Amino acid sequence: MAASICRQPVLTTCKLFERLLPNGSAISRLPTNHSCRRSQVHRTVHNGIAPSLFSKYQETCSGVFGVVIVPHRNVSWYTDKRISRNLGAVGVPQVDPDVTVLGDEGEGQELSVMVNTSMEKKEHGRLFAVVSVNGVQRKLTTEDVLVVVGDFPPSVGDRIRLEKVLMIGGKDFSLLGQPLLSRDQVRVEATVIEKTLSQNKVWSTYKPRQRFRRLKLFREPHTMIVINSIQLNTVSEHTQ
Amino acid sequence: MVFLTRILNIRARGPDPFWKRQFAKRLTWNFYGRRRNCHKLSLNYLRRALRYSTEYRSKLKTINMDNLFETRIAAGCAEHGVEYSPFIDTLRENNIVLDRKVLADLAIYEPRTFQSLCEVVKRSHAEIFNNNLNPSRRIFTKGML
Repeated sequence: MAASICRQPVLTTCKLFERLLPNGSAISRLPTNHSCRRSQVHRTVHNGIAPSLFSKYQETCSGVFGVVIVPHRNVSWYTDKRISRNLGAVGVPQVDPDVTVLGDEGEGQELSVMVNTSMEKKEHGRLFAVVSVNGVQRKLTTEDVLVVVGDFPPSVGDRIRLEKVLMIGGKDFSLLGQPLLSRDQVRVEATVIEKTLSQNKVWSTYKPRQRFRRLKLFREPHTMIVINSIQLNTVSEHTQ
Repeated sequence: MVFLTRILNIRARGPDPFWKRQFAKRLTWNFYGRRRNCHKLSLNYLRRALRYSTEYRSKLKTINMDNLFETRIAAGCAEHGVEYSPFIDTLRENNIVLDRKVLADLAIYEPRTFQSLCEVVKRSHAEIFNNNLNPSRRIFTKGML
């Protein structure tokens, strides 16, 4: 479809939804021929934001830009108000409607070929990865030393492989897992070099006029691990 | 003559308070002025300091760091014209579960990765709009027939 044809009706739907949205659930009744995950965005219109605020939001934004902005669940509207609007970012800018969809196979193949060639020519530079270690996500690269706080079973000298790799990035590409990258593709190895305790920390509580006082000193276990290598195998052509 | 009842008049006191004060000194060594050395003066300040240090770890630190991360991400998004809350929620919709700490790091140190994340968000939004809200898929007018 041509861009010029698509633009015009968009505005008319906006006017339609301005009338529909204050009722709340109107949008959810619209039939969706897509999966539940996609339609979820439009179902949870009023959950995260006060209705009065929402209508104001709708007036200001849709009046000026002519775009339907659907606030989502877990909206942190205060950050939007404080930062994004002050910097002039409202909603998500429209891309060209002719653009290829995410997960398009042709484009995926092109990209994977580009990544593979850059890996072959060794133009990827120093790779970095985002790894979830002990429930905490970290951005790391080779020769980094991490402090893992809390219980961590491996003992000193163990060579371990970090398996929950969320993304990996190089000079010209970054691969995002949805949510994780596969084990065959990425290999992040690390060695445990030290196990110690943190500094003393204080936990205390008391209730006034009740003779209730508690004071405890505690130290958390710390584990230092050093990242040996981050390897990326050739990307299969079906990844996004 | 032996005063046997004399011993009964001695009040039983607890352990030596010296050690308790030594322990308090371990926590008040960095206070300012006389509240550093005088135990009695330091008591109220010590209690307040303990309360602050406990509360900060559990509540205030989380709030402060969240604000900081959100500020950084929102500023990074604004460079590409994307608002914060659609950005973070569209990532979740796409099963990208990078947390806000990592996203803030990416916004600062990996600007090109962050740009591609914004691109994902824009295209995902366009896709959703195209599938669910595009009138050409659901509105039929007389002229079209």
